Amino acid sequence: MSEYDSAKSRFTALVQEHFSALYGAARRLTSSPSDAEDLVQDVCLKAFESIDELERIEFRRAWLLKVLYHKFIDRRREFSRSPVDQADTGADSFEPEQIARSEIRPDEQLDQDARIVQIIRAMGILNKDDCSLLALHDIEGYSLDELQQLTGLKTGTIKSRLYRTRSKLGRLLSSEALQQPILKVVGGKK
Amino acid sequence: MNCTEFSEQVTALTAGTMPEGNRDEYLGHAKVCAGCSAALRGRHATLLVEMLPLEEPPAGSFERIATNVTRSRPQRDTSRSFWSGAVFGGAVAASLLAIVLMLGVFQPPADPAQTVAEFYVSAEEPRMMHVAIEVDRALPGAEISILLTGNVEVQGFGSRRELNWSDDLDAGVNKLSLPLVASGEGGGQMVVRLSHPDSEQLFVIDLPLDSEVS
Repeated sequence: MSEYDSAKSRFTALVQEHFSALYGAARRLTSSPSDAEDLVQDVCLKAFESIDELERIEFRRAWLLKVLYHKFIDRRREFSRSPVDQADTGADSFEPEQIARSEIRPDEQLDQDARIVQIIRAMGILNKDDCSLLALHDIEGYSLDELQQLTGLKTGTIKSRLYRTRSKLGRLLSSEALQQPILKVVGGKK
Repeated sequence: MNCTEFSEQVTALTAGTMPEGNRDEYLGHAKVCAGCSAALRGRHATLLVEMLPLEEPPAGSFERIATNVTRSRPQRDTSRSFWSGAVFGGAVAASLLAIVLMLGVFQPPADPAQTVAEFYVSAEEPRMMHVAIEVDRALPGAEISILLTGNVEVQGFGSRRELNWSDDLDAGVNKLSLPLVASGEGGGQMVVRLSHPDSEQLFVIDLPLDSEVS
């Protein structure tokens, strides 16, 4: 077996079973399948460069997903300058009852899509480690115990960081800069 | 009710699985506590992302990516090796690049030293900055010069502020990979000069310090 075949075989053995999860997570964060594939390729490149480390890791999927959220933020920073500073911004102006209602009416779907875009933009502004911790817990479904084993942090520290990061995300979503439309009409007739 | 208790139950509150009797108490706390109010909004946001459907990857995508990444090689630590030596297709190139410079070599830019991008450097670890430079035809013997300002170094070159070398640029996208590391406070800037008998172009890349550890 050539050196190339050997490297590819090791990589395949470690990553292939997690590929669908990686792509699914990437697709949620990106606007097109090709962008998702690019993001996953960034993760796979990192995995390949760290293949010895990856072989020793117990929670490989979580490690790969963590890298994915880091790469997602790297790409957000590099390709689009953020309109919002990482500092806490804006005041909250919403009704908790409204947020706590999880059902979505059909006429709200369009708003919902725009909302998702804003959420992804706001996540791209967070600290990388905080964002990946929050995403692994809230979106990918890892438990506090699993996160403790993955990160080596105490459960209390993880809880505190989750709370702080949710608060920051909530404040970012309240900020005026994120409410601005991504596209604006510059000409034409209605 | 305190913020710790609220935080423990914010998922149940957002997902609608909290009993009605408790719900009012928690929502009441959110109304008077700015931190928990924001946390509720943040948890609702992550719930919306979680509820998005998971798409399956396109057929053949793993094989394609596995081939791409396993054919890549670590960068050698010589000035010549800053070029990847490969010309990438559009989709592959876009996946690897931090910054893409569209270089029309025969048309001087309006601002010859325009800042075109930024790349966050870290003092904790070297980070590979990939710059893609697209040229419309092959440029044999192009001269490349890098000038660093501030507290940023190319790993392996210590405090050298200027690196120069010559290379043949292929038509299409050429990837320049530089392992950068912050050597102090404040980051810096990099000026990239590309010159050829036909023309010269300058690009400035901001290199702010990322205080967050990867």
